[in-house]
Amino acid sequence: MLGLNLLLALAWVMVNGSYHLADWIVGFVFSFLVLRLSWSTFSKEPFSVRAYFRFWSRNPLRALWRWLGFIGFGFVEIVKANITVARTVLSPKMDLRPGIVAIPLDLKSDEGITTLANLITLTPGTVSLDVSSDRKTLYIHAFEVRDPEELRRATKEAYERRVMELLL
Amino acid sequence: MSLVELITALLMGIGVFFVIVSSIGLVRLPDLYTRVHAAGKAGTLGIIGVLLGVGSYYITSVPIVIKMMAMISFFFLTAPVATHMIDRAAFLTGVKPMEGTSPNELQGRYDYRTRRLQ
Repeated sequence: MLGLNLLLALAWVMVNGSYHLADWIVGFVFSFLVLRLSWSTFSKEPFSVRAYFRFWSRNPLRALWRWLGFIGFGFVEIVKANITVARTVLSPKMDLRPGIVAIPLDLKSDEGITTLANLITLTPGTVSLDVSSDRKTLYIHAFEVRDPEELRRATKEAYERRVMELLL
Repeated sequence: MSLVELITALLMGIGVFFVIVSSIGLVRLPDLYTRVHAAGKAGTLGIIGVLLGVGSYYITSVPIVIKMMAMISFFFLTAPVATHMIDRAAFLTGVKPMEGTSPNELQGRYDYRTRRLQ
C-alpha cells in the first residue's frame, strides 16, 4: 500500500505543478487519508501497519503491463465502435435489427463484471443493459443481431476472456 | 500554423465531428435503446477528442496534460455507467423497444415490484 500512497503523492505534486518538499508532504498525507478511508476496496485484510508496508501487488510491473495492454485494446475498440455508430447514423436508409441478448457470465467478482459491462458499452454495436440479481447473466442491447448465438460466443471470447486475465 | 496547432485542430476536429454524430443520432435513431448507443459511444469519443486537443495545445505544461489524462480516464469509467443506468431505468419504467427488436431476452425477466432480475 505504501507504493500506491507514493504514486498518489506523485500525482498530487504533478497536478499541482510545484515540487517543493511541503507539496510532497501534503500530497502524501492526503493520499494516506484517502487510502485509509477506502482501505477495504484495496485490501481484504483489516488495516494494520504491516499490511500498509506490504506492497499492494505481488508483481506490480506485470500487472501494470497487462493493464496497459488492456487499455490499448479498449481504445482501439472504442474507435471502431464510433465508426460503426457514425456509419449507421449518417447512412440515408437506416436498416436496424436491434435485439436484447442474455449472456451467461463466467466472471465472479463485482470488479470483473463492472469492467466487462463498461467494456461492452464502449465497444462496437453493444450496450450493457443490466446484470441479473444473482450475478450470473448479463443482458446486452445490440445494434445488429443476425444470430444471437454468434453474438454470445463472440462477446465471451473477445471480451470476457480478456477481462478474466486481469480480474476474476 | 505550427505543428502543435495543427495537431490540436485535428484532434478537436475529430472530437467535434463525433459530438455532431452523437447529436444527429439522438434525433434520427428510432427508439431510446438505440439512441443510448449514439449518446454513450459517440459522445464519449467526441469529448475525449476535445480533451486530447486541449492537452496537445498545452503540451509543455505537465500539470495540464496530466489533468486531461485524468479527465479522460474518469470519462471512460463514468460514461458507460450513465448509459447503463439510463437503459435500465427505461426498461424498468416500461419504455418499449422499437418494433422488430428481436430477440428480446429481457422481456418478462424483471419482477417489477422487487426490481429483482432473474
